[in-house]
Amino acid sequence: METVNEIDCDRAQLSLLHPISRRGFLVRSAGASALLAGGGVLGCDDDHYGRLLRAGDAPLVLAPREFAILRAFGKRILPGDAENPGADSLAVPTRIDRELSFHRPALQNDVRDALLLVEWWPLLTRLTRFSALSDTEQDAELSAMMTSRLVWRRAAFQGLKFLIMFFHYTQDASWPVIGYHGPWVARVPPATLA
Amino acid sequence: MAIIEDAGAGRDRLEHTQVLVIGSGAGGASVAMRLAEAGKRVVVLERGGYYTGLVDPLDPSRPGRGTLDQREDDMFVRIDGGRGLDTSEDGNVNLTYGSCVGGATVHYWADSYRTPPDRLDRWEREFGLTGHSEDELRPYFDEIERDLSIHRALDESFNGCNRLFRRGVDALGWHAERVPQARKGCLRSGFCMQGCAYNAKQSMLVTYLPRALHAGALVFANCRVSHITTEGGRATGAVAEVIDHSTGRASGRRLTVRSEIVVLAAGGYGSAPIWLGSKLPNGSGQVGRNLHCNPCSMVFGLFDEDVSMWRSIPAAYGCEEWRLAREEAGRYKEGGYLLMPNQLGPATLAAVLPGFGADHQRLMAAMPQIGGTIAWIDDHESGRISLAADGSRRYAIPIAGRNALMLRDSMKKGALALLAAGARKVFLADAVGTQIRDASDLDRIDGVEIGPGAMAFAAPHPAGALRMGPDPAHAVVGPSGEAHEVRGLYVADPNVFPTAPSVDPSETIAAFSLILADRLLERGVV
Repeated sequence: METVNEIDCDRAQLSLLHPISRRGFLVRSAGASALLAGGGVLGCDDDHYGRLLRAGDAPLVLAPREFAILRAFGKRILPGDAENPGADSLAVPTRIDRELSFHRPALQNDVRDALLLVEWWPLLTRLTRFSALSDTEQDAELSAMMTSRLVWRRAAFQGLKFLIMFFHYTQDASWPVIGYHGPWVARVPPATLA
Repeated sequence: MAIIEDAGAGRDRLEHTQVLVIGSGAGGASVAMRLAEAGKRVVVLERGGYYTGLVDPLDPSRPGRGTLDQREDDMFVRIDGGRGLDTSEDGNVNLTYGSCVGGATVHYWADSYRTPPDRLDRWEREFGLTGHSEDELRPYFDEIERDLSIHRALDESFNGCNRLFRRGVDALGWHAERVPQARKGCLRSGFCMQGCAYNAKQSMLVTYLPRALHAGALVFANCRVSHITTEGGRATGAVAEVIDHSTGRASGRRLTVRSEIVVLAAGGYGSAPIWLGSKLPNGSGQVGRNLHCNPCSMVFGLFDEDVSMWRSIPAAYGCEEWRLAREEAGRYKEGGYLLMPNQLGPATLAAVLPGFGADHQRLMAAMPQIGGTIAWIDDHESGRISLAADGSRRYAIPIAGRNALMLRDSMKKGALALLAAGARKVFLADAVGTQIRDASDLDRIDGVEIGPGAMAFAAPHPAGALRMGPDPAHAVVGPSGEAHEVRGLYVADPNVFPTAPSVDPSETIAAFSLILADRLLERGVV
């Protein structure tokens, strides 16, 4: 059993204490634990994360700073431009947060851990966190994460990427630019989707 | 006649019946239909909700709810067991399974194969399986194919990806055939995986379940079985939590069913956890073991012509050349999988395509020209289902050993097929999208990282976790379908297969389940 790591001002303990979860974003390791613990000590900058949130952002599952990191991650995974609606403009982070509310705590905690790993890993090489890097630096970090030899780092990237991609391209507004014709019937909003 | 979606209407409820069936997919619906039509009182408990297309499957003169709305996210929410996010415990394998009235047949591709005779022979030879020979199964296959309008894919069903796949495998001289399809009046909309909005795909939702209901069966949706009850070593029923449809969470109310016999048919990923959670005997130690699930690899090709892989049926043409693994000097050489054309919607495709950012967006902009192959491997090394201390389910699925060799070989063959079909660019679904320019590049696949986070595999065909066999020391249920250690408990889903069937399993599941039902009737068990 690993020890408690106080890494987030809003939460008393990290999900690293939980057994390996179903989603398996992160393979638990002492290395990740230490890294996240270190990050947590430096991570209580509410002003910084507040600036990354939009007015009206009210996540149900993620803490505001976790949600802000997800937004920063999503902006680089699917950036917006004149042709492409980006993940942020389609409110993909909000959609993900809502979806997480229907899943077990283990999966929710995996997502939290993955976000913290994204945020704090650059401390090792750039002495600053992901959300404070430039776009170019963020892309370089994500490329390194995507191809990392560390299974848990790579898995964290792919898990978050899966969520961003999936919940972006399920939206009608993402389809014109990719030439997808879309369904033949009207959407019926699911009952179990707050 | 209706599906009961709010069991008890606010209160706990108790039902008495002759036959309790847990699960409403290919296995459960087949048993329920047969026994209800024989005049038996049947109750079916389904964990998932009740969703329909544009026409009411129970009364085709009435409109349906339209909740099978062809959207990938709604499909995950409504009909997938894990809302699309369940994986093996290391995250390497995505678990695809049904949780809705009709079970996995609501999202299956409708590919409907008879169990290959070589596989039935192997089950008899290696596992001592009796009563399920080719001759014994034949009349059941005939019946199922009649009932579900199973026929070879028609010319007009071939979409762009199917045509290119046929061009490629035919050019290579590989044995391939039109895939048998369970369809009637298909409009070729291309949303089979999301649940057919037109009741054309002949899932249990529109075939055997309506027949069971017409014959008097009671079907409860939104009822998650917490445990099977026993008395004196005999199954006596089950207790289910009623799920609040508006939240997806337990309502606090319970449905208790007392029954003469219990038929466990909660699917390849679902039945073993119910067994374990009920703390039923496991003297063989085999409960949850021997999990086979056909992990599947994907390869993509970029073509100059329009492919529109999302249109029409997923797999009209299937390559059986590599179904059986080939060995050389006692070592694996190649094969061990069905190779098929692939079909993915934009969301799932985006999630598995390599890269991110502008590169990924450029790739997605070429979606109409992207085709691909998918291969379900006949897993050699088996996995295991277990329960964590908190009762949550764990699935260990090995992507290693011969399984890994088969996955790599399937990617090679998929790449060759796409190249032979004229793809100008062929690439893998790994993190960096490893490119295969020609046959000389195939060896690169041997070095591609396929572990967690590098490549994701889907696993849509679970089987084997409550396997059938005559010896209680090595099998969980006997050839009659009854549990060796719990009288009155029967299993009617792919968990009874000693291995995966080496083809899409739905027809095998239905046939085994109808045999079970007929033998219960013949023996006067109910």
